[in-house]
Amino acid sequence: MYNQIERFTSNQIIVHFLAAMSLMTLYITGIPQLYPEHLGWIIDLVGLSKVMLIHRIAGFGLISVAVYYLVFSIISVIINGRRYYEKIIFPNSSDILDYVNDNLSILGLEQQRIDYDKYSWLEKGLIWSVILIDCIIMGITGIILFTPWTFASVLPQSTLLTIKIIHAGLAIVSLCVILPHFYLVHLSPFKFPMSNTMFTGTISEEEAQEEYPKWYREVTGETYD
Amino acid sequence: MIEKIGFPLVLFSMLTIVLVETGILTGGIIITIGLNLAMLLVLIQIIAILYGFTKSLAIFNKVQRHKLYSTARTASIKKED
Repeated sequence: MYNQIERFTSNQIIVHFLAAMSLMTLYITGIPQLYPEHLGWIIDLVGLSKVMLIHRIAGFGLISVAVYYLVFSIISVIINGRRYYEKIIFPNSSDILDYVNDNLSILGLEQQRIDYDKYSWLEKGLIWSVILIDCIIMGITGIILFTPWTFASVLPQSTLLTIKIIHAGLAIVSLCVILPHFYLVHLSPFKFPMSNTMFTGTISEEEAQEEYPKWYREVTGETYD
Repeated sequence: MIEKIGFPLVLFSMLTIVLVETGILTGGIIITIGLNLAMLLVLIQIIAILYGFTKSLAIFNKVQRHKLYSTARTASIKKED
């Protein structure tokens, strides 16, 4: 009897790797441009033109991964039906309940009730923030800022400046979403130095039982005692 | 030790980002340390992702060479030993 459960497919592992690498490169090359007085040494080290080039290549990488995964998901929905995606990816009423319960338990008002499905509300929130903020909004504003002269005839200068502010502001929001994720998978006492689940694609039965009880019961066919 | 200070580290770097972005505190050594810490965390993440992906490629290679290879079974054997 194996005590490991498959959690991620090889496709998900590759997409996560490419998206994460692109995103991290975007932070390293983008954030110093916002705070040159504090992080200017990164730009000085590589050179502004090279930093901009790397930033654009990484942005293109992230958009490519997003487009690939969108096409893959559409084909997957056509072949397998949308029940899987509705159940796994989209937030549902139990996620809202878990969210409220977790926050109440932090305030000490209620006892924590961990009965997460395959993905918890926090993980769903993270993936949706990456889709909405990093891929859609940052992608569109990034393309406009990449070739502003193309859009100059259509968009007024004030709009272009607003787009620049949105791009910079949401980069900060995106970093503030990824840093807690970094804590949860690396620096948390339970996962330190790193969680290998996203790379091996498997999770131990004990871990699954503890962190995703509902999904564990579904996978193993175990019923309530 | 690092797992004990991990939470304050992440919180500190996030807090400095919020302070500098809202304009409450835009300069000073604390902001510089916090922002550089955030960049350091991102850099560590890049290294961790590269390490993890190399590991998954090694597993993929083993699966290609030995059709019956499974990470689940290896982990199970290791635990039994």
